[in-house]
Amino acid sequence: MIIEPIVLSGLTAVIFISLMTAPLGCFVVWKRMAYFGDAISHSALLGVAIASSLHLPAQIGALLTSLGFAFLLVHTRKITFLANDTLLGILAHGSLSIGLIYYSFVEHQSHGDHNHQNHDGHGHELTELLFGSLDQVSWLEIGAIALGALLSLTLIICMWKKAILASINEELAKAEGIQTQLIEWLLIFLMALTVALCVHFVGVLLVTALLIIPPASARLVAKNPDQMLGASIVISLLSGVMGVGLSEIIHAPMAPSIVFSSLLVFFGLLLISKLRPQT
Amino acid sequence: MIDYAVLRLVQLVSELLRIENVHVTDHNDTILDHVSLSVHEHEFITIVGPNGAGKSTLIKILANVLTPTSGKVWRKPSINIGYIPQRFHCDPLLPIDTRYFLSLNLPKTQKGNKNKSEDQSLVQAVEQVGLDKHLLNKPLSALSGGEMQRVLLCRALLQKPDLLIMDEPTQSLDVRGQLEFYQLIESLHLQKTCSIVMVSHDLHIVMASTNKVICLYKHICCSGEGNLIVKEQAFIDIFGPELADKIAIYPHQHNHHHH
Repeated sequence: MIIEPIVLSGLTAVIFISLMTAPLGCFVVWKRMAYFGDAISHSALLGVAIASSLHLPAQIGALLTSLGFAFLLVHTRKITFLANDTLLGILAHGSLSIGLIYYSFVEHQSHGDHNHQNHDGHGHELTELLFGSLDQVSWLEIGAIALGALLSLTLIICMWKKAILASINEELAKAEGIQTQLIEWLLIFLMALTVALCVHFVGVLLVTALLIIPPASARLVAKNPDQMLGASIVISLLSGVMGVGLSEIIHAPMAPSIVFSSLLVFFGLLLISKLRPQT
Repeated sequence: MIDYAVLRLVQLVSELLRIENVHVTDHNDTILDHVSLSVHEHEFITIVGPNGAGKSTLIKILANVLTPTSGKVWRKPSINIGYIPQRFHCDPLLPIDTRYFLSLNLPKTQKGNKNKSEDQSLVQAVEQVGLDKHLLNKPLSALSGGEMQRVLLCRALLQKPDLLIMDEPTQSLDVRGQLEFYQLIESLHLQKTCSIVMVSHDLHIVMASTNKVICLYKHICCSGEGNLIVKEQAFIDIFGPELADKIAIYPHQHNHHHH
Protein backbone atom coordinates (compact mmCIF):
# COMPACT_ATOMS: atom_id res chain seq x y z
CA MET A 1 0.00 0.00 0.00
CA ILE A 2 1.32 3.41 -0.92
CA ILE A 3 1.19 6.03 1.79
CA GLU A 4 -0.40 9.22 0.60
CA PRO A 5 1.58 12.45 1.16
CA ILE A 6 -1.20 13.83 3.37
CA VAL A 7 -0.98 10.80 5.62
CA LEU A 8 2.82 10.96 5.67
CA SER A 9 2.92 14.61 6.69
CA GLY A 10 0.17 14.04 9.23
CA LEU A 11 2.10 11.12 10.67
CA THR A 12 5.34 13.11 10.91
CA ALA A 13 3.53 15.96 12.62
CA VAL A 14 1.95 13.54 15.07
CA ILE A 15 5.32 12.09 16.03
CA PHE A 16 6.79 15.50 16.86
CA ILE A 17 3.62 16.59 18.63
CA SER A 18 3.87 13.46 20.79
CA LEU A 19 7.49 14.23 21.67
CA MET A 20 6.40 17.70 22.69
CA THR A 21 3.22 16.94 24.62
CA ALA A 22 4.10 13.71 26.45
CA PRO A 23 7.01 14.95 28.65
CA LEU A 24 5.31 18.25 29.45
CA GLY A 25 2.08 16.36 30.09
CA CYS A 26 3.73 14.51 32.99
CA PHE A 27 4.14 17.83 34.80
CA VAL A 28 0.61 18.87 33.85
CA VAL A 29 -0.65 15.72 35.59
CA TRP A 30 1.67 16.02 38.60
CA LYS A 31 1.04 19.70 39.21
CA ARG A 32 -2.69 19.49 38.42
CA MET A 33 -2.37 21.99 35.59
CA ALA A 34 -4.99 20.42 33.29
CA TYR A 35 -7.41 23.28 33.77
CA PHE A 36 -4.57 25.69 33.19
CA GLY A 37 -3.79 23.99 29.88
CA ASP A 38 -7.42 24.16 28.86
CA ALA A 39 -7.55 27.85 29.69
CA ILE A 40 -4.38 28.61 27.74
CA SER A 41 -5.60 26.74 24.67
CA HIS A 42 -8.96 28.48 24.77
CA SER A 43 -7.19 31.81 24.83
CA ALA A 44 -5.16 30.73 21.79
CA LEU A 45 -8.29 30.94 19.63
CA LEU A 46 -8.23 34.72 19.88
CA GLY A 47 -4.58 34.73 18.80
CA VAL A 48 -5.26 32.52 15.81
CA ALA A 49 -8.18 34.72 14.75
CA ILE A 50 -6.13 37.92 15.07
CA ALA A 51 -3.19 36.41 13.22
CA SER A 52 -5.44 35.22 10.43
CA SER A 53 -6.92 38.69 9.99
CA LEU A 54 -3.40 40.17 9.82
CA HIS A 55 -2.19 37.43 7.45
CA LEU A 56 0.39 36.21 9.96
CA PRO A 57 1.12 32.56 10.80
CA ALA A 58 -1.47 31.25 13.27
CA GLN A 59 1.30 29.94 15.57
CA ILE A 60 2.69 33.41 16.27
CA GLY A 61 -0.71 34.81 17.19
CA ALA A 62 -1.45 31.80 19.39
CA LEU A 63 1.92 32.03 21.13
CA LEU A 64 1.50 35.72 21.93
CA THR A 65 -2.03 35.40 23.30
CA SER A 66 -1.31 32.27 25.31
CA LEU A 67 1.83 33.81 26.83
CA GLY A 68 -0.07 36.99 27.64
CA PHE A 69 -2.90 34.98 29.06
CA ALA A 70 -0.59 32.87 31.25
CA PHE A 71 1.01 36.04 32.57
CA LEU A 72 -2.37 37.62 33.29
CA LEU A 73 -3.50 34.47 35.06
CA VAL A 74 -0.48 34.17 37.33
CA HIS A 75 -0.89 37.80 38.38
CA THR A 76 -4.67 37.71 38.86
CA ARG A 77 -4.17 34.68 41.08
CA LYS A 78 -2.16 36.84 43.48
CA ILE A 79 -4.80 39.53 43.92
CA THR A 80 -7.97 37.51 44.34
CA PHE A 81 -9.24 35.04 46.90
CA LEU A 82 -11.13 33.03 44.27
CA ALA A 83 -10.17 29.40 43.85
CA ASN A 84 -7.84 28.57 41.02
CA ASP A 85 -10.32 26.56 38.99
CA THR A 86 -12.99 29.27 39.30
CA LEU A 87 -10.56 31.89 38.08
CA LEU A 88 -9.40 29.66 35.23
CA GLY A 89 -13.00 29.03 34.24
CA ILE A 90 -13.77 32.74 34.14
CA LEU A 91 -10.72 33.67 32.11
CA ALA A 92 -10.81 30.63 29.80
CA HIS A 93 -14.40 30.97 28.74
CA GLY A 94 -14.08 34.73 28.66
CA SER A 95 -11.18 34.58 26.25
CA LEU A 96 -12.86 31.83 24.22
CA SER A 97 -15.91 34.02 23.72
CA ILE A 98 -13.78 37.05 22.81
CA GLY A 99 -12.01 34.84 20.29
CA LEU A 100 -15.30 33.62 18.84
CA ILE A 101 -16.72 37.15 18.58
CA TYR A 102 -13.57 38.43 16.92
CA TYR A 103 -13.55 35.44 14.62
CA SER A 104 -17.12 35.94 13.45
CA PHE A 105 -16.37 39.62 12.90
CA VAL A 106 -13.33 38.83 10.75
CA GLU A 107 -15.24 36.15 8.85
CA HIS A 108 -18.06 38.54 7.96
CA GLN A 109 -15.56 41.06 6.68
CA SER A 110 -13.67 38.67 4.47
CA HIS A 111 -16.86 37.10 3.13
CA GLY A 112 -18.10 40.57 2.31
CA ASP A 113 -14.80 41.50 0.66
CA HIS A 114 -13.63 38.89 -1.78
CA ASN A 115 -14.57 35.52 -0.39
CA HIS A 116 -10.94 34.49 -0.81
CA GLN A 117 -10.17 33.26 2.64
CA ASN A 118 -9.18 29.70 1.83
CA HIS A 119 -7.01 30.54 -1.15
CA ASP A 120 -4.21 32.33 0.61
CA GLY A 121 -4.05 29.74 3.38
CA HIS A 122 -4.73 32.19 6.18
CA GLY A 123 -8.45 31.69 6.51
CA HIS A 124 -9.66 29.16 9.07
CA GLU A 125 -12.96 27.41 9.24
CA LEU A 126 -14.30 27.51 12.77
CA THR A 127 -14.50 23.72 13.06
CA GLU A 128 -10.83 23.53 12.06
CA LEU A 129 -9.97 26.02 14.78
CA LEU A 130 -11.85 24.06 17.38
CA PHE A 131 -10.91 20.55 16.34
CA GLY A 132 -7.80 20.98 14.24
CA SER A 133 -6.76 20.22 10.68
CA LEU A 134 -3.96 17.71 10.85
CA ASP A 135 -4.59 16.73 7.25
CA GLN A 136 -3.52 20.19 6.03
CA VAL A 137 -0.09 20.68 7.58
CA SER A 138 2.76 22.13 5.56
CA TRP A 139 6.34 20.86 5.93
CA LEU A 140 7.36 24.29 7.19
CA GLU A 141 4.90 23.95 10.06
CA ILE A 142 6.17 20.45 10.79
CA GLY A 143 9.67 21.92 10.98
CA ALA A 144 8.45 24.44 13.53
CA ILE A 145 6.93 21.67 15.63
CA ALA A 146 10.15 19.63 15.39
CA LEU A 147 12.14 22.62 16.69
CA GLY A 148 9.61 23.16 19.44
CA ALA A 149 9.81 19.49 20.42
CA LEU A 150 13.60 19.68 20.53
CA LEU A 151 13.53 22.79 22.72
CA SER A 152 10.89 21.31 25.01
CA LEU A 153 12.72 17.99 25.42
CA THR A 154 16.04 19.73 26.10
CA LEU A 155 14.58 22.02 28.76
CA ILE A 156 12.67 19.24 30.47
CA ILE A 157 15.67 16.90 30.54
CA CYS A 158 17.87 19.71 31.95
CA MET A 159 15.52 20.50 34.82
CA TRP A 160 14.08 16.99 35.23
CA LYS A 161 15.09 16.01 38.79
CA LYS A 162 14.93 19.55 40.16
CA ALA A 163 11.48 20.06 38.68
CA ILE A 164 10.31 16.74 40.12
CA LEU A 165 11.43 17.80 43.60
CA ALA A 166 9.70 21.16 43.13
CA SER A 167 6.51 19.33 42.10
CA ILE A 168 6.66 17.11 45.20
CA ASN A 169 7.36 19.89 47.69
CA GLU A 170 8.18 23.44 46.72
CA GLU A 171 9.49 24.43 50.17
CA LEU A 172 11.96 21.58 50.25
CA ALA A 173 13.19 22.43 46.77
CA LYS A 174 13.62 26.11 47.70
CA ALA A 175 15.54 25.27 50.87
CA GLU A 176 17.90 23.14 48.81
CA GLY A 177 18.61 26.09 46.55
CA ILE A 178 16.47 25.18 43.55
CA GLN A 179 15.04 28.10 41.57
CA THR A 180 11.43 27.01 41.82
CA GLN A 181 10.09 30.24 40.36
CA LEU A 182 12.22 29.80 37.24
CA ILE A 183 11.01 26.22 36.82
CA GLU A 184 7.41 27.38 37.19
CA TRP A 185 7.86 30.00 34.48
CA LEU A 186 9.66 27.59 32.15
CA LEU A 187 6.80 25.10 32.45
CA ILE A 188 4.26 27.84 31.74
CA PHE A 189 6.31 29.00 28.75
CA LEU A 190 6.52 25.43 27.40
CA MET A 191 2.79 25.07 27.88
CA ALA A 192 2.12 28.23 25.86
CA LEU A 193 4.61 27.14 23.19
CA THR A 194 3.09 23.66 22.93
CA VAL A 195 -0.42 25.04 22.65
CA ALA A 196 0.69 27.59 20.05
CA LEU A 197 2.45 25.03 17.85
CA CYS A 198 -0.17 22.30 18.17
CA VAL A 199 -3.40 24.27 18.21
CA HIS A 200 -3.53 24.55 14.43
CA PHE A 201 -3.33 20.78 14.01
CA VAL A 202 -5.34 19.42 16.88
CA GLY A 203 -7.61 22.36 17.61
CA VAL A 204 -8.37 24.50 20.63
CA LEU A 205 -10.60 21.94 22.28
CA LEU A 206 -8.36 18.90 21.96
CA VAL A 207 -4.84 20.14 22.83
CA THR A 208 -5.23 19.38 26.54
CA ALA A 209 -6.33 15.83 25.76
CA LEU A 210 -2.92 15.18 24.19
CA LEU A 211 -1.22 16.66 27.25
CA ILE A 212 -3.18 14.63 29.77
CA ILE A 213 -4.36 11.29 28.43
CA PRO A 214 -0.97 9.67 27.61
CA PRO A 215 0.71 10.65 30.93
CA ALA A 216 -2.40 9.65 32.84
CA SER A 217 -2.29 6.26 31.11
CA ALA A 218 1.44 6.01 31.85
CA ARG A 219 0.77 6.71 35.53
CA LEU A 220 -1.21 3.47 35.68
CA VAL A 221 1.87 1.38 34.91
CA ALA A 222 4.83 3.52 36.10
CA LYS A 223 6.62 3.11 39.42
CA ASN A 224 8.91 6.14 39.19
CA PRO A 225 9.07 9.41 37.22
CA ASP A 226 11.50 8.09 34.59
CA GLN A 227 9.18 5.20 33.78
CA MET A 228 6.24 7.57 33.58
CA LEU A 229 8.12 9.81 31.13
CA GLY A 230 9.11 6.87 28.92
CA ALA A 231 5.71 5.23 29.03
CA SER A 232 3.87 8.43 28.24
CA ILE A 233 6.05 9.07 25.17
CA VAL A 234 5.49 5.51 23.95
CA ILE A 235 1.74 5.68 24.60
CA SER A 236 1.52 9.07 22.93
CA LEU A 237 3.35 7.85 19.80
CA LEU A 238 1.33 4.65 19.71
CA SER A 239 -2.03 6.36 19.96
CA GLY A 240 -0.87 8.98 17.44
CA VAL A 241 -0.07 6.34 14.85
CA MET A 242 -3.23 4.41 15.71
CA GLY A 243 -5.27 7.58 15.33
CA VAL A 244 -3.84 8.44 11.91
CA GLY A 245 -4.54 4.88 10.75
CA LEU A 246 -8.04 4.97 12.18
CA SER A 247 -8.85 8.27 10.49
CA GLU A 248 -7.76 6.82 7.13
CA ILE A 249 -9.85 3.70 7.57
CA ILE A 250 -13.08 5.28 8.75
CA HIS A 251 -12.52 8.63 6.98
CA ALA A 252 -12.76 10.66 10.17
CA PRO A 253 -10.78 13.82 11.06
CA MET A 254 -7.32 13.00 12.35
CA ALA A 255 -7.17 14.87 15.66
CA PRO A 256 -10.33 13.39 17.19
CA SER A 257 -9.23 9.96 15.97
CA ILE A 258 -5.93 10.36 17.84
CA VAL A 259 -7.66 11.45 21.03
CA PHE A 260 -10.08 8.54 20.67
CA SER A 261 -7.17 6.10 20.24
CA SER A 262 -5.42 7.39 23.34
CA LEU A 263 -8.69 7.02 25.22
CA LEU A 264 -8.79 3.36 24.16
CA VAL A 265 -5.21 2.91 25.38
CA PHE A 266 -6.12 4.56 28.69
CA PHE A 267 -9.06 2.27 29.34
CA GLY A 268 -7.06 -0.75 28.19
CA LEU A 269 -4.31 0.04 30.71
CA LEU A 270 -6.85 0.86 33.41
CA LEU A 271 -8.42 -2.57 32.92
CA ILE A 272 -5.03 -4.32 32.99
CA SER A 273 -3.88 -2.48 36.09
CA LYS A 274 -7.10 -3.32 37.94
CA LEU A 275 -6.99 -7.00 36.93
CA ARG A 276 -3.32 -7.40 37.79
CA PRO A 277 -2.71 -8.30 41.45
CA GLN A 278 -1.48 -5.26 43.41
CA THR A 279 2.18 -5.32 44.26
CA MET B 1 39.76 43.26 75.97
CA ILE B 2 41.91 41.00 73.80
CA ASP B 3 40.09 37.96 75.10
CA TYR B 4 36.86 39.55 74.10
CA ALA B 5 38.19 40.36 70.63
CA VAL B 6 39.39 36.78 70.15
CA LEU B 7 36.09 35.45 71.35
CA ARG B 8 34.24 37.73 68.94
CA LEU B 9 36.50 36.64 66.09
CA VAL B 10 35.92 32.96 66.82
CA GLN B 11 32.23 33.67 66.91
CA LEU B 12 32.34 35.40 63.53
CA VAL B 13 34.32 32.60 61.93
CA SER B 14 31.96 29.94 63.22
CA GLU B 15 28.87 31.86 62.23
CA LEU B 16 26.70 30.01 59.71
CA LEU B 17 23.69 32.22 59.42
CA ARG B 18 22.60 35.56 60.78
CA ILE B 19 19.39 37.55 60.51
CA GLU B 20 19.15 41.15 61.62
CA ASN B 21 16.00 43.12 62.35
CA VAL B 22 13.88 40.77 60.32
CA HIS B 23 10.33 42.04 60.04
CA VAL B 24 7.45 40.23 58.36
CA THR B 25 3.97 41.61 57.81
CA ASP B 26 1.04 40.02 56.06
CA HIS B 27 -1.93 42.24 55.15
CA ASN B 28 -0.91 44.74 57.85
CA ASP B 29 -0.64 41.97 60.47
CA THR B 30 2.75 41.75 62.11
CA ILE B 31 4.00 38.17 61.93
CA LEU B 32 7.57 38.79 63.05
CA ASP B 33 8.67 41.95 64.84
CA HIS B 34 12.33 42.86 64.31
CA VAL B 35 13.90 39.52 65.09
CA SER B 36 17.67 39.16 65.18
CA LEU B 37 19.35 35.83 65.54
CA SER B 38 22.53 34.06 64.59
CA VAL B 39 23.39 30.40 64.31
CA HIS B 40 26.91 29.11 64.87
CA GLU B 41 28.64 25.83 64.14
CA HIS B 42 27.64 22.90 66.35
CA GLU B 43 24.81 24.85 67.88
CA PHE B 44 21.46 23.27 68.71
CA ILE B 45 18.64 25.80 68.91
CA THR B 46 15.02 25.01 69.61
CA ILE B 47 12.33 27.59 68.92
CA VAL B 48 9.25 27.39 71.13
CA GLY B 49 6.18 29.59 71.36
CA PRO B 50 2.39 29.49 71.27
CA ASN B 51 0.36 29.13 68.07
CA GLY B 52 0.59 32.15 65.81
CA ALA B 53 3.91 33.20 67.30
CA GLY B 54 5.59 33.21 63.89
CA LYS B 55 7.74 30.13 64.48
CA SER B 56 7.15 28.62 61.07
CA THR B 57 7.69 31.98 59.37
CA LEU B 58 10.99 32.41 61.17
CA ILE B 59 12.14 28.93 60.26
CA LYS B 60 11.18 29.45 56.61
CA ILE B 61 13.23 32.63 56.51
CA LEU B 62 16.20 30.77 57.96
CA ALA B 63 15.75 28.00 55.38
CA ASN B 64 15.55 30.51 52.52
CA VAL B 65 12.01 29.48 51.68
CA LEU B 66 10.59 32.92 52.50
CA THR B 67 11.97 36.42 52.04
CA PRO B 68 11.26 38.81 54.93
CA THR B 69 9.36 42.07 54.38
CA SER B 70 12.40 43.93 55.67
CA GLY B 71 15.65 43.12 57.43
CA LYS B 72 18.95 41.49 56.59
CA VAL B 73 19.59 37.79 56.06
CA TRP B 74 23.17 36.58 55.79
CA ARG B 75 24.23 33.04 55.02
CA LYS B 76 27.75 31.68 54.99
CA PRO B 77 28.69 31.37 51.31
CA SER B 78 28.18 27.85 49.91
CA ILE B 79 26.36 26.74 53.04
CA ASN B 80 24.41 23.48 52.71
CA ILE B 81 21.03 23.47 54.38
CA GLY B 82 19.01 20.36 55.16
CA TYR B 83 15.34 21.14 55.66
CA ILE B 84 12.32 19.25 56.95
CA PRO B 85 9.10 21.16 56.25
CA GLN B 86 6.17 21.19 58.65
CA ARG B 87 3.84 19.42 56.28
CA PHE B 88 4.98 16.90 53.76
CA HIS B 89 2.56 14.99 51.64
CA CYS B 90 3.48 12.99 48.58
CA ASP B 91 0.68 13.04 46.07
CA PRO B 92 0.19 9.55 44.59
CA LEU B 93 -0.28 11.26 41.21
CA LEU B 94 3.50 11.30 41.05
CA PRO B 95 4.84 7.75 41.11
CA ILE B 96 8.08 7.70 43.07
CA ASP B 97 9.88 5.24 45.31
CA THR B 98 12.01 6.17 48.30
CA ARG B 99 15.30 5.51 46.50
CA TYR B 100 14.39 7.88 43.68
CA PHE B 101 13.21 10.53 46.15
CA LEU B 102 16.44 10.36 48.13
CA SER B 103 18.54 10.63 44.98
CA LEU B 104 16.85 13.83 43.77
CA ASN B 105 19.17 16.84 43.89
CA LEU B 106 22.08 15.15 45.66
CA PRO B 107 25.09 17.45 46.12
CA LYS B 108 27.64 16.96 43.34
CA THR B 109 30.40 15.49 45.49
CA GLN B 110 28.01 12.79 46.57
CA LYS B 111 27.39 11.49 43.08
CA GLY B 112 29.77 8.59 42.71
CA ASN B 113 31.28 7.53 39.42
CA LYS B 114 29.41 4.29 39.55
CA ASN B 115 25.76 3.86 40.34
CA LYS B 116 26.66 1.15 42.77
CA SER B 117 28.58 3.42 45.11
CA GLU B 118 25.71 5.90 45.09
CA ASP B 119 23.35 3.13 46.02
CA GLN B 120 25.64 2.01 48.82
CA SER B 121 25.75 5.50 50.26
CA LEU B 122 21.94 5.61 50.10
CA VAL B 123 21.68 2.32 51.99
CA GLN B 124 24.14 3.63 54.56
CA ALA B 125 22.20 6.88 54.97
CA VAL B 126 18.90 5.04 55.37
CA GLU B 127 20.34 2.73 58.02
CA GLN B 128 21.88 5.70 59.84
CA VAL B 129 18.40 7.05 60.60
CA GLY B 130 17.24 3.63 61.76
CA LEU B 131 15.30 2.51 58.70
CA ASP B 132 15.40 -0.81 56.91
CA LYS B 133 17.04 -0.69 53.48
CA HIS B 134 14.08 -2.55 51.93
CA LEU B 135 12.18 0.68 52.44
CA LEU B 136 14.13 2.12 49.50
CA ASN B 137 11.90 0.19 47.10
CA LYS B 138 8.65 1.28 48.75
CA PRO B 139 6.53 3.98 47.04
CA LEU B 140 6.88 7.26 48.91
CA SER B 141 3.11 7.63 49.24
CA ALA B 142 2.94 4.26 51.07
CA LEU B 143 5.23 5.26 53.96
CA SER B 144 3.86 5.66 57.47
CA GLY B 145 4.17 9.00 59.28
CA GLY B 146 7.18 7.84 61.29
CA GLU B 147 8.93 6.34 58.27
CA MET B 148 8.30 9.49 56.25
CA GLN B 149 9.82 11.71 58.96
CA ARG B 150 12.97 9.54 59.02
CA VAL B 151 13.16 9.51 55.23
CA LEU B 152 12.99 13.32 55.28
CA LEU B 153 15.74 13.41 57.91
CA CYS B 154 17.78 11.00 55.78
CA ARG B 155 17.28 13.22 52.74
CA ALA B 156 18.31 16.29 54.71
CA LEU B 157 21.47 14.52 55.92
CA LEU B 158 22.34 13.42 52.38
CA GLN B 159 22.68 17.12 51.55
CA LYS B 160 25.78 17.04 53.82
CA PRO B 161 24.23 19.94 55.69
CA ASP B 162 26.11 22.51 57.72
CA LEU B 163 22.75 23.37 59.17
CA LEU B 164 19.69 21.20 59.70
CA ILE B 165 16.39 23.13 59.90
CA MET B 166 13.23 21.36 61.03
CA ASP B 167 9.69 22.58 61.56
CA GLU B 168 7.94 20.43 64.17
CA PRO B 169 9.55 17.22 62.97
CA THR B 170 7.78 15.04 65.54
CA GLN B 171 4.21 16.23 65.18
CA SER B 172 2.99 13.16 63.31
CA LEU B 173 4.77 10.68 65.60
CA ASP B 174 3.48 8.80 68.62
CA VAL B 175 5.16 9.27 72.01
CA ARG B 176 7.67 6.50 71.46
CA GLY B 177 8.44 7.73 67.95
CA GLN B 178 8.97 11.25 69.31
CA LEU B 179 11.48 10.04 71.89
CA GLU B 180 13.38 7.99 69.33
CA PHE B 181 13.43 10.92 66.92
CA TYR B 182 14.81 13.26 69.60
CA GLN B 183 17.47 10.70 70.51
CA LEU B 184 18.46 10.52 66.87
CA ILE B 185 18.72 14.32 66.62
CA GLU B 186 20.61 14.52 69.91
CA SER B 187 23.13 11.97 68.68
CA LEU B 188 23.63 14.01 65.49
CA HIS B 189 24.32 16.99 67.73
CA LEU B 190 26.76 15.05 69.92
CA GLN B 191 28.63 13.76 66.87
CA LYS B 192 28.88 17.39 65.72
CA THR B 193 27.40 16.42 62.35
CA CYS B 194 25.76 19.79 61.85
CA SER B 195 24.10 22.68 63.59
CA ILE B 196 20.42 22.23 64.28
CA VAL B 197 17.54 24.69 64.42
CA MET B 198 14.08 23.33 65.04
CA VAL B 199 10.59 24.30 66.08
CA SER B 200 9.08 22.10 68.73
CA HIS B 201 5.93 21.83 70.79
CA ASP B 202 7.32 19.10 73.04
CA LEU B 203 8.14 21.48 75.86
CA HIS B 204 8.72 18.76 78.45
CA ILE B 205 11.59 17.38 76.37
CA VAL B 206 12.96 20.67 75.11
CA MET B 207 12.99 22.52 78.40
CA ALA B 208 14.76 19.68 80.17
CA SER B 209 17.78 19.88 77.91
CA THR B 210 20.81 22.09 78.19
CA ASN B 211 20.55 23.19 74.57
CA LYS B 212 19.67 26.73 73.62
CA VAL B 213 15.97 27.54 73.56
CA ILE B 214 14.43 30.61 71.98
CA CYS B 215 11.01 31.62 73.15
CA LEU B 216 9.23 33.44 70.36
CA TYR B 217 6.10 35.48 70.34
CA LYS B 218 6.44 37.68 67.23
CA HIS B 219 9.68 38.86 68.82
CA ILE B 220 12.26 36.93 70.81
CA CYS B 221 10.94 37.04 74.40
CA CYS B 222 13.79 35.20 76.03
CA SER B 223 16.50 32.75 75.16
CA GLY B 224 18.99 30.56 76.92
CA GLU B 225 19.44 27.02 78.21
CA GLY B 226 16.11 25.23 78.36
CA ASN B 227 16.30 24.29 82.03
CA LEU B 228 17.13 27.87 82.97
CA ILE B 229 14.72 29.99 80.96
CA VAL B 230 11.77 27.96 82.16
CA LYS B 231 12.07 30.06 85.32
CA GLU B 232 12.17 33.39 83.53
CA GLN B 233 9.26 35.73 83.84
CA ALA B 234 8.96 36.24 80.07
CA PHE B 235 8.56 32.51 79.58
CA ILE B 236 5.98 32.23 82.34
CA ASP B 237 4.09 35.21 80.90
CA ILE B 238 3.73 33.46 77.58
CA PHE B 239 2.98 29.92 78.58
CA GLY B 240 1.30 30.63 81.91
CA PRO B 241 2.54 29.67 85.39
CA GLU B 242 0.76 26.29 85.49
CA LEU B 243 2.41 25.04 82.35
CA ALA B 244 5.78 26.50 83.27
CA ASP B 245 5.46 24.74 86.60
CA LYS B 246 4.59 21.44 85.01
CA ILE B 247 7.53 21.62 82.65
CA ALA B 248 9.99 22.59 85.32
CA ILE B 249 11.68 19.43 86.45
CA TYR B 250 13.77 20.63 89.35
CA PRO B 251 12.06 20.30 92.71
CA HIS B 252 13.74 23.39 94.18
CA GLN B 253 12.05 25.40 91.46
CA HIS B 254 8.79 25.42 93.34
CA ASN B 255 10.36 27.47 96.10
CA HIS B 256 11.24 30.23 93.70
CA HIS B 257 9.12 33.29 93.51
CA HIS B 258 9.14 35.70 90.62
CA HIS B 259 8.20 39.30 90.88
